[in-house]
Amino acid sequence: MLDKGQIKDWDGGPEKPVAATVPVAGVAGVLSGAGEGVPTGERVTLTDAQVSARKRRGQWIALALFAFVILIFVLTMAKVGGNIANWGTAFE
Amino acid sequence: MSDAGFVSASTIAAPASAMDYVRLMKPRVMSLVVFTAFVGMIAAPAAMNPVAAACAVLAVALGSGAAGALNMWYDADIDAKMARTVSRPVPAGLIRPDEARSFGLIMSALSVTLMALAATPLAAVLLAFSIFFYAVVYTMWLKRSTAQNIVIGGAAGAFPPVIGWAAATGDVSIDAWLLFGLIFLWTPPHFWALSLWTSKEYARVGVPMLPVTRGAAETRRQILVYTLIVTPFALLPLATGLGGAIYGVVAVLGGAAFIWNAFRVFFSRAGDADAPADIGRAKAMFGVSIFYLFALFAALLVERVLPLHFPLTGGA
Repeated sequence: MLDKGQIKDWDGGPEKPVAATVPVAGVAGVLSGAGEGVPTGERVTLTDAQVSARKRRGQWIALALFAFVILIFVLTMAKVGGNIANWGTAFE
Repeated sequence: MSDAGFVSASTIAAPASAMDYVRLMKPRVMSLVVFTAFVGMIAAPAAMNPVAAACAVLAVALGSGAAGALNMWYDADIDAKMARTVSRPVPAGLIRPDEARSFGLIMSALSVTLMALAATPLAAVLLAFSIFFYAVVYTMWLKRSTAQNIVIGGAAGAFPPVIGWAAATGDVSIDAWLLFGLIFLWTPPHFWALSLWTSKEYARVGVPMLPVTRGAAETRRQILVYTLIVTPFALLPLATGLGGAIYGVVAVLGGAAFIWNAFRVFFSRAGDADAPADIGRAKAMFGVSIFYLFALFAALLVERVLPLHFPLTGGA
């Protein structure tokens, strides 16, 4: 049985380390992210400080997304709010 | 199970702080970009909803930060070899390169979306193009391939007042293009003054800055030529009525100081290996160039906000 988080191959065996891919040269290579995310079977154990830093970053991202939603709402109200307030007069 | 497949936590860089992400966005560049975009917005002959204007300024700031992040992601390899840039978040190992790239791409999308919602489609298109120009045309293409990198690439930094103008009016007039031309022509002497004392590092990483490819003497000559072009160009807003009396005084006095320093650099041996004492003149030129551009845009802002706009011609 595999440990939690361990990657499985299609045949049920633990994933074998694979050779690094040949990097794609130039802009296309860096834009495609070639060479990144190659499964090597390695896993990362984080320290308590790193776990808490990751949690903190997640909270910042959530806060930023929430702020963006609020910003769009306020912006929409500022731009079209007057029209909503004058809804009735549009049919006079 | 064996621990052989685990990576020790000690081999992972220390987690990045919020400040590292702020540094990734090049806050000093961002402040000048936001300032010039704001002046473009204020100088334009149209009033904006204050909330929409604030959002448009925020969009410019986010767009500038996105371009800075993409620049730091792509240039991490050469940044790691130069003393001036080695402590940036990516080469310092605080933020992973792919993370900086994702951050830049997401911020680009958010900034353009916000600009489209807050201001005008033209402003959003110009913002998207300026991010593309800085990240792809300048950073990925020109910077490492031609000594004219900063001349052409300077267009990226010249767009913000045009974006601000387009955000307010929905179109781009000759006055907006004058502000564009001012920053575009100002960029080479400003940046080449800096490159006179950083050329050794640029040479070591293979970036063909002008002092590297043509030598310090040619760079000093080009600084003078561009200064003699940009200073009279800066007087053109007086002819169209964009700039008034205050702007005129600043343009004349600031231009005189700019030219004076350009001549001091030209008649020095700044950048030559055997004349380290003269590099102070290049540093003075660099400082004066920043002050010159800031003063011109500040004059436009003061004239419109206070308002103290006394046009010398029959223009706006």
